[in-house]
Amino acid sequence: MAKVSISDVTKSYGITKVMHGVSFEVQDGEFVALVGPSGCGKSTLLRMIAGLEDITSGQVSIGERVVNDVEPKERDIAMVFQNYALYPHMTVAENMGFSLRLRGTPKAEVSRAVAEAAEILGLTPYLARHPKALSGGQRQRVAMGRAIVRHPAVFLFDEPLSNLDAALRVQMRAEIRNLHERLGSTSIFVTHDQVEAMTMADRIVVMRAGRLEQAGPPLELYDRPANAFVAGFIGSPAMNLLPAQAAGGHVTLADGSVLPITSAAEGAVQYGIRPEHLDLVPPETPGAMTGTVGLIESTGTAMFVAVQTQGPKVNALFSDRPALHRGDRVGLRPKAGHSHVFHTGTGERLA
Amino acid sequence: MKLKPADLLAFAVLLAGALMMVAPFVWMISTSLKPAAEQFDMRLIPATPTPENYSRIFELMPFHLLLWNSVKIAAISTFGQLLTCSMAAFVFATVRFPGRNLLFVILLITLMIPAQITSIPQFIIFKALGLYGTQAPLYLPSFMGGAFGTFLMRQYFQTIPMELAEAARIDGASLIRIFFTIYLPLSKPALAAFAIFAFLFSWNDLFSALIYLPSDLEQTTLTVGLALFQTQYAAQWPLMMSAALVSVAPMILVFILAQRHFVSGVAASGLK
Repeated sequence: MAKVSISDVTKSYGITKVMHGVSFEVQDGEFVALVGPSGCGKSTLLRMIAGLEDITSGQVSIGERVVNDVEPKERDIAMVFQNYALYPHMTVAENMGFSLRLRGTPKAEVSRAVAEAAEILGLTPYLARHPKALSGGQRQRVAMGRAIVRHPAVFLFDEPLSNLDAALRVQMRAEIRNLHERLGSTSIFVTHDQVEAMTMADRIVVMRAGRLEQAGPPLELYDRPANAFVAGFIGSPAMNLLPAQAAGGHVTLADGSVLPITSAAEGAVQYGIRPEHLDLVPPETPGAMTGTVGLIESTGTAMFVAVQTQGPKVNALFSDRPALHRGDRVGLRPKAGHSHVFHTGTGERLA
Repeated sequence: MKLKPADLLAFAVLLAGALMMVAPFVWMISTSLKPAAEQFDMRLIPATPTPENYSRIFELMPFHLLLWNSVKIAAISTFGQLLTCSMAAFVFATVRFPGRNLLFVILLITLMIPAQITSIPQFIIFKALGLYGTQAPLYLPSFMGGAFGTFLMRQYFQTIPMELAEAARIDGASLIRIFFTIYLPLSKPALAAFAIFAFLFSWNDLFSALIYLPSDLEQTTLTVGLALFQTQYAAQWPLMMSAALVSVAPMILVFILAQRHFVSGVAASGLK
């Protein structure tokens, strides 16, 4: 068990700086998701915590110890890789016991630890198989088994679910979460999938282009995104971000509709409203946007509707299956208190 | 599978090529089985086939000693090459260090230096070491790595995902351990291919044996023996062919044993 502190960490390749001073803390036993679009530096940061990548400046501590110059094996961590990185020529049991064998753990103790991990992960029938004789989900479990046999202080996950199909991904999401609750180890989970981050993490760290954008519990990020980027990144389907003019507790959109806001902002802003926070009202209702229904996508649990206003396109999500057809004229009224306002230039949230 | 005319044509061309390749070999076998009187008889199947030539050559020259020397030297050389080239290749493929690419290019440049150029300095070195007249100069250089093997193994190692080495590092394996327990077991096809090259190179090496070993039949290799045999029995083709066949037989055996690995290894490392 240990907390992980990242303080002012930067990374440069030659003269190219790819990480610009990232700081955050992961509390003991916490499950933190590092999320961001590809190239944001989340995997690099994870690899720096693992010790697979040099730290250009700043500090990484695990427990109370600064580990900048500590070998990976001395850091008391385990890592699950995106492609699992199972040793192809070893059986499942050998893969899982490899780290223990390297430490000179007695044979009987290794088999006991492997059997225990296999039991937890439901891998007992497959211990004698080689990785190529396993399905994707089973390989994924072996990769986790290899991590848990050692009882590390910190688990690092590098996009471990991205090679699985959708149904299996949902299942493994729950399994990893259950495993975390059972073992209570500090976990850092890298993903580009914000749904994964939202559903699994105690806290989410959003990164973009080598900078930390916001860190906080999933619902806080959803309810109060610190800037337009986080607003657009967290939540699916993504928040509508519409150019607007703010004045006296209202914004005026490009199509002329006037909507109430809770912010005291003035001047040019970005007005944000999530698709699920729009109510269907008759066209031309005051305090609502009016437009024409375009694409409709139904998933059964919800109905996703793209509405073309006089200005930009607005997406709406309804859970009550309204009878809508392409070409219908509709009004969309934001639910009270759910709007967000961001600075047009910096993207910062305006209270 | 249905054959198209184009396939048939390709097949015919390949068959002709194969026949051309195998014909001298078949002729060699045929001649080696003919009695001396029939040696200019052009029939492919000897009229009176006899294995007598094979026993004759062992009487005329201690071929068993020569064979043993060659096998021993080739086996030690092959081991040395496999070990040192794959070690160097492993470092080139997995460890990032300043000057790595430059060093690798310099290594590749050594491929362009003919062996004849280094043979005199090498001779002086071995002489100074007191190894002239022993078999050591024939296999010791194999323990110094080599550009060809390092290149071949590096190409193969680069196809092994880096994550395996990283996972092993996190699992607590040292570099040496990663090399022996992860990379080498996963590189059997490339090792097999390279083993054949290395074995063949040592087996065919007439030059070093001539330079370093006295023409003492107890010590020298099969290639030297064959050359001596040729000068003495030049006109006796059945004997010559028997001796030649004995000298290539071990290579053919090695190739048959490792052929499957050899083909996939060469394919994987992109060599021909």
